[in-house]
Amino acid sequence: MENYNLFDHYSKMKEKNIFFIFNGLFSDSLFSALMQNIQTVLSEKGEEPGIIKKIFSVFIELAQNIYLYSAEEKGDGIILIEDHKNFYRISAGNLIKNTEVCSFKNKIDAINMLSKKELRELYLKKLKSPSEPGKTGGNIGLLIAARKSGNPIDINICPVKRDAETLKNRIFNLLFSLFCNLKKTKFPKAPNKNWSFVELSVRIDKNI
Amino acid sequence: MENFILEPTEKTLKINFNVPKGIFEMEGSSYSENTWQFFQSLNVWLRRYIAEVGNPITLNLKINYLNSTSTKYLMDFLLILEEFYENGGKVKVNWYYEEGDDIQEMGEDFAADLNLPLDLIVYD
Repeated sequence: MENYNLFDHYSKMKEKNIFFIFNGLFSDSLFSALMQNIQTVLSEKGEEPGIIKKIFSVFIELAQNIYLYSAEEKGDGIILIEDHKNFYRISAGNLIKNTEVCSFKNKIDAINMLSKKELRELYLKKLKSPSEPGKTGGNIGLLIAARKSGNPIDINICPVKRDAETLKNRIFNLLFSLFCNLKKTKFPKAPNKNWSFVELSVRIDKNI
Repeated sequence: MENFILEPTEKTLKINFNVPKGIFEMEGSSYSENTWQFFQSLNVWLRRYIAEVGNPITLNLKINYLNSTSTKYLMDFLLILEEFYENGGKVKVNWYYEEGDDIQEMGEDFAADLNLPLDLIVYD
């Protein structure tokens, strides 16, 4: 197998104005390290503190969205920031179950339909609803991302069909089905292995 | 009742709740995903203070940044204060912000939405 061409990757990132990218497992301890790095880079670029804070905010909400909702492996995803002439764009992607795609897309579409005032009202309503441990409930993070950026959240969905079964799983399933046959019980239905890659993009306009 | 003091970390707030003075301070940033326990401990402490001490409270907030989860939990804390206030308790909230910082907007949202005396105060 050929080595992955890192130079191609690097050149493409440069060409697309991507100055920051992370791919892999997101963890809570990773956020502060990433955020410090991004803040330093943006300060050195001479960006305004207000814009840096908006980027900080949107980045954290999108990254934590991956951390909480990525389907296959908790926290597995990719996030990047582009720096264009008039705006920054933060894009984050992760796998979610096909069965959850529709409701997720509807949530984003619903947020994008709201006016500035409606966004604020929904945000405050969600803030006041009862808390559950570890969950903010009702996508407050996405509402914050939409409010901070003042732009719609772009959503892009790519179906990914793949077999997540490992050899070990297959042997286990085979033995288990034999066992079920012997016991004359029903073999449980195989779990849904169809995923989609969901990509969210948020644009933050520069003050020019 | 003892004071409640927590040293800040990069991702959690500095907490200094002084019982004799009735001055409660929260300062810094909070953006860990695991803040449930942190804020729960504040809420439990506050409920105890209200039940056992019940003296006037001044809450000074000098927030730099809160993520969505922490914002939600701060709202829970302020709702307890609101209940105390509505039941005749004395409460004053000072929301400090730096000029041009969007934490001002968060303070305005809270001020408009809560039945609490909440002042927005700009500082350098």
